[in-house]
Amino acid sequence: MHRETPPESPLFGYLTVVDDPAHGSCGGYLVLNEQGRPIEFHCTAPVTPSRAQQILYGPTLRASLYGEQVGPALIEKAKSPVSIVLVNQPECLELQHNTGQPVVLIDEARSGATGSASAFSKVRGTGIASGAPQLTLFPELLDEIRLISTEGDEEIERLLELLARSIDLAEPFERIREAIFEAQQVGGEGQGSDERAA
Amino acid sequence: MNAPLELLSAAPGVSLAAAELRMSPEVAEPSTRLADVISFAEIPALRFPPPVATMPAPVARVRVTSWAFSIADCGTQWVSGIADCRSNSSSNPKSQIPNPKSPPTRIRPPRDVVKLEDRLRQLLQPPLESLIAAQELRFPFDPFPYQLDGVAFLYPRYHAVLADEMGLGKTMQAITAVRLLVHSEQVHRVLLVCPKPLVTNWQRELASWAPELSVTAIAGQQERRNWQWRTSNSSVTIANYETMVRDAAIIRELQLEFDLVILDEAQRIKNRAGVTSEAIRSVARHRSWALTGTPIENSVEDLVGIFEFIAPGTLQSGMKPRVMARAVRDLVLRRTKEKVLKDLPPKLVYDEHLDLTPEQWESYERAKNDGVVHLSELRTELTIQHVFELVLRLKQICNFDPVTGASSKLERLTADLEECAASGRKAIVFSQWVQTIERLAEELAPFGPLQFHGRIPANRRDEVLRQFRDDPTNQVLLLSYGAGSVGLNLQFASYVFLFDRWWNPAVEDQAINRAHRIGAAGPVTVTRFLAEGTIEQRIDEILAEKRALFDDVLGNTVGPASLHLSRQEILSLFDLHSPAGPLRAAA
Repeated sequence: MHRETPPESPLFGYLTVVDDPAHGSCGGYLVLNEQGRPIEFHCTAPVTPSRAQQILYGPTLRASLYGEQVGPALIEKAKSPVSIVLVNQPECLELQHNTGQPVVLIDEARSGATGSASAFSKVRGTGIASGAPQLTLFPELLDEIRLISTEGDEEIERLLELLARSIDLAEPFERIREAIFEAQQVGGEGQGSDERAA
Repeated sequence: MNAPLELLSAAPGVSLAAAELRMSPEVAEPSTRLADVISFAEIPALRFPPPVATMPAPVARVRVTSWAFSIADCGTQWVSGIADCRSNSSSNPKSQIPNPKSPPTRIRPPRDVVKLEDRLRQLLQPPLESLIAAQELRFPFDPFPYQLDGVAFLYPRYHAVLADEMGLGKTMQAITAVRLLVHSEQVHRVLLVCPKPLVTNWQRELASWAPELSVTAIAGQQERRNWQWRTSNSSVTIANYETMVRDAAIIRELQLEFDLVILDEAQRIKNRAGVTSEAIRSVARHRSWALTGTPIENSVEDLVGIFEFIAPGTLQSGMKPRVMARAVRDLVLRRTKEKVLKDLPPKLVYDEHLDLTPEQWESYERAKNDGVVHLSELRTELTIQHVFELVLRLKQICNFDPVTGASSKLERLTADLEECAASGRKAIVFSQWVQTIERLAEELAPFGPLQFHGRIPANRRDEVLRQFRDDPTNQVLLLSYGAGSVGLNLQFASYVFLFDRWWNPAVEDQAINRAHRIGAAGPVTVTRFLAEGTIEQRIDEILAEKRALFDDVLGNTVGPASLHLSRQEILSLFDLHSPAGPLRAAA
């Protein structure tokens, strides 16, 4: 059988952090192709902030942990360059200062109910476009997202529309959570193809 | 304001409280700078530069574990060789995703996938709906969510038994899973083995659910079959069980190897020592799936037999049911209609207790008394076969009086069918005997009865079914349990009559589910005829007890030790005594 590879396939990075009161925070980074298929997966060992960190960072602790420490460590390990990084936690937007890619925040609570994201459309201003219930850029953070967008809004939208043809844009976060759980259950450390301390 | 505070806080022994003591209320106004009112020289501890402790902001140590998945591993190739389905598809493949309000169907790795990398590869795949949409696979109608769960169960498994109750669409689930595997190039050659009467049914279903897959049905004389085995490069090869036995040598000689072997009605290989089981198990394969609505037809040993094909060594003879259930938990998926098909029209089951006609009673009593006397005379010569023959004789009399032809069942059936025909609905009637069916065909001539049993040639059976479905003058289909209880889709029939009863409730269920299945437009009424005060009633009582036991254990996957009548149970149908006490059958 003859194989055809879609040309110029952009890749998408999904990043989320799972907080477990007992074990700490585990970050997961999943690189997908435009069909939503996994290309790479990276996850961190649980990270537990020390008492000194908790005191010194105060309310900025999560943003620092997610956006400055866990997130960059994960993205640094990826071999495949992505066109866009999608996150589901506002704290991960700190990644904007540490990566060169556009970072888009997905409101998971408003997404996924229909199992389809094909109706994605442009989001402008501070409102949510009608007909696009699956994807929401947090309105109050739109300016920040624009600031970090090196490609420009139109390019981000084009990429998201492309991915939304195949999958629900929020669905991969669930995959990451399950994979982190699986890795913890099986005891994934040491089994990865590339394990290094960041 | 900041500087003094930092100094104070960095100098051990000096507190803000100390500074505040130096401030008078009138100078401690918000607009007043602290440095203006506090003279550091007046504080003894600060006459000299204080020691400074520097603590950098701590950074968490983050360890990252990585996995990379090749595109080939994920089955993401675009396969142009089977692209017909895509070219015919609509521009919006998502329209094929069933029930958009349902949660996505995730593919989860089976337990026998041990390596974490392999487990993650499967776990990180998109939901099944996305896979289907990505390949733009079209379906003749939307699958039910539970059917997608079944596909998600089969898709990642190398060893699997899909044991859904009859009528839930095992065929469609298997075909869709095969389709996904073929499209993702994980599977290239599939061998499907099914009972002979179901070959055309599978061809039809494949054409409907996977029109892009090439299919070859192995049939004909030996030379033709040999040629087919040698040359077939179809995605799916279909063979019946008898063919597999006859062609075992050529399959071995050609060293044929299949990516996947699927057994439909897999209970056919329950006898591990049988030639069928041996022939099937000898086929080289990578994946082994079994489809059966009755994984335990007679005893738990049936399941052991099936697993000798699925995953040899998983089950052993004599295992306790609980241990067995644990061993196969991850490899068997069984759903019942009650659990998954909330919207299926109801099945109304009536036991029609009938009195025999006087003529039948006379014949029945005579046969019974003569038979019991004969059995008693046999004493130690008595075998189970002797008892069995008497049971069959009595059951036949319950159908028709051998002398006069009188039949209370026929009278009742005729009345019911008149009502059925008046409403324009169709009925199917099951019997154990072909003679009974032929007799019924004569008596029920006004209803245009059609026959489907072992004496109807295989090449005419499809035509019989088509005629029954399409011709309004053919209102009744008469079937034997043997030929008509599996694999037929008769959901357009609203009434099912069991003219006589089979020995095994699972077979009766299969017969009933020919009509009560997906696609049934309305309620299905099942009438089980039972001759009051006869051997039929006694058998029914025993089977009812067994059915209850089966239902109790089915939740644990494994059924009771035996579903059909045991030797002792058959003997208990009669009160057989000799002067020495109760009679027991010889071995």
